[in-house]
Amino acid sequence: MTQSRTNGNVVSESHDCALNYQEVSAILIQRFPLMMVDRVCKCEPGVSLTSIKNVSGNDIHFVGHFPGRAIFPGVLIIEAMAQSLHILDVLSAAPSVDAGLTYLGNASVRFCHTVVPGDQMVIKVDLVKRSVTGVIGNVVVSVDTTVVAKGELILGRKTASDGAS
Amino acid sequence: MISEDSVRVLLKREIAVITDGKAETIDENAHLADIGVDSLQALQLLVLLEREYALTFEDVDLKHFRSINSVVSLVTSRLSAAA
Repeated sequence: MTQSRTNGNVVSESHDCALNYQEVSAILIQRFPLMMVDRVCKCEPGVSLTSIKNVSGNDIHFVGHFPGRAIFPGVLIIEAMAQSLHILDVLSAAPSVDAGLTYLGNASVRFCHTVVPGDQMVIKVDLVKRSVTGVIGNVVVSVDTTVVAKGELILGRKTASDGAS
Repeated sequence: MISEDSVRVLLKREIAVITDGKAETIDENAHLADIGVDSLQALQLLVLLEREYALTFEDVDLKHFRSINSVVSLVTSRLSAAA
C-alpha cells in the first residue's frame, strides 16, 4: 500500500487493483469525448473503488459550457460516477461471469461545488448492492478536500442473453 | 416483533412514492410490474428492506418480488428465522 499526492489530493494506491488508462479503456465502452475515468487508484472488488478524472481546459465540453466561463457539466460528473460504479461492478464479477452492459437507471445526486479546468475529480464509490438486475452504489466526488457532488446511482444490467451487442 | 402490517405499510408507502400513486389504492396481490414497479425499482425496494430490517437478500430472493404480499411473506419469514 502506497500513497501519492496529486493536485492536492492524497490518494491511497493499492497497486494490486489499480488500473491505468488503457486498462480502464478495456472495461468501458465509452470513448472520446465521453470517457470520464482516467485512472482507478484503488479497488476492493465487491466493496469500493476510487478513481480519477482530470479536467482539462482543452476538453471539448468547455466550448459551449460556457463560452467565457468554463464549468464542467454536472451531467458529466454523473457520467463519471456511473462509469466508476460500472468499473467496480465489472471488477466485482466472478472472472467467468459476464457483468454485461450497464445503463444508468436512476441518479439521486446533489451538486455542492462547480468543477473547473485544472481540477482533478476523485470519485469514491461504495457498493450498496449487486444483483442480476442491476447495481446500486453511493458515490462521492471531491476536488482536493472539497466534496463537489454526492449521491446514489442505480445501474441496470443488460447481458448478452438480453440481446445486447 | 415486526408485524406483517408494518412491512406492508412500508412497502405500500415506498411504492406509492416510486409510482406517484396513492398507498391506499395499491393492490397488494397485483404483480409489481402491473403497478408500475420495474426491476430496478424492485432492487431499490430490496435494499430499503435490507436497511430497514437489517436483512440480507440474495439474487434468488428477487423471484419473491412478485407482489406486495409475496414480499411481505419473504420478509416476515426471514425475520422469524433470524429471531
